[in-house]
Amino acid sequence: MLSFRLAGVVVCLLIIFAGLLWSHSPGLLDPDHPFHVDDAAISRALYGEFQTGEEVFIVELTFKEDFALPFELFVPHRNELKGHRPAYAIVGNNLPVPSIAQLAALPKLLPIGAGAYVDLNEINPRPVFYESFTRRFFYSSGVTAYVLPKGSYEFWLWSPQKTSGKFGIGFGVEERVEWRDALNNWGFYAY
Amino acid sequence: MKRKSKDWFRRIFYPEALSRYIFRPGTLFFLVAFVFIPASLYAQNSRDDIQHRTSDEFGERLHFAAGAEMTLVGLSYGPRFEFLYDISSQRSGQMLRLAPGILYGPEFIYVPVALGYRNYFLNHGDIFQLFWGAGVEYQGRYITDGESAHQGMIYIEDGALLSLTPGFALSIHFGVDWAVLGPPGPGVITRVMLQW
Repeated sequence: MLSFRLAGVVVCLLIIFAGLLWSHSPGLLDPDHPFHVDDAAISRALYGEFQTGEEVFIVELTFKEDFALPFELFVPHRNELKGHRPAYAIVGNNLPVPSIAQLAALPKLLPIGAGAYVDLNEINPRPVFYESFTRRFFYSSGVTAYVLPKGSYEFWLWSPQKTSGKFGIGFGVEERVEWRDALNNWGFYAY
Repeated sequence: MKRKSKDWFRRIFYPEALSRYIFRPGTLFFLVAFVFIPASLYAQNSRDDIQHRTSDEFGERLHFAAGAEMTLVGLSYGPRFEFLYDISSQRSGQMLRLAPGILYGPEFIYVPVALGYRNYFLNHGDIFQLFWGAGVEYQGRYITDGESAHQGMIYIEDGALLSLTPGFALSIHFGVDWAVLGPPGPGVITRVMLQW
């Protein structure tokens, strides 16, 4: 019958298109365990939650060659999170020395010889963007591209105002999706 | 600096190419094909050897449903309405569907409007029916402090309908959709409706 034939065509189209997702590769951050990224060029979205506001999340990256890395920090677009502005710092050798105000805002002392790019996420008005795979809106810190010489770095993420709430970070340029990672923690990413 | 993928599979299925060569022509093909479904059904039902409905009143062909919907991708809840028009002179369960709604989410206000086709089948004594449907849907997600999101979707749905009284029925729906206009991405929907 025509109706069943049409159903088959639509199902096939949806199955084909559903298998061809492209987006950031997701992951979950734990304040007790640094998150290690093997290939920082792969586009990633890492999610975490400040339970008390005292946590410091660390992401470790290594670049085998000089790299221009786009980076963005975002918070769910909810009324209760309007004051939730986590900050981040990229820490490593060959990076500039932060200003006195930025040094004072860091959650811990810089290693000897290390510099840092620091973003205290004080942008106003706060940019908002729509993420089409989870169909959510987020407040953004704005996208900044950092030129990083080859070497090892740490990303520090903390809440200067000790606010609690979820957050995410996005970085990288090359799209690749791990279906299992996305589905295993779907509830954390989507709600 | 951006690395070029050396993987031929990923190079072919690059998002911009998919959108330009598959999604947009595919959407147009689907819309054009969809237009011809009622025409073919009308032609089929116009044959002299088919027993036609005894009444052709617009009111008898039009059905209305109201209920609650929850979207699982892009969390939101709220009322959804359906206008179903029986396009078959044989009462074979072929319906055109117009479905507006307004839903509340913790991050946005969600306004969908769907236009599609639904087929009721496996009718068990006018008490229990299964159905499936497909169509297109506009989805608007509105916020006040930034740019709202607008997407055009292809959806497919199925469900079951249970007659409570001769005039009222309860239905449960499950659907999936995929954005073909605007930002890409899949969605999952559940819906419970009271229909009469």
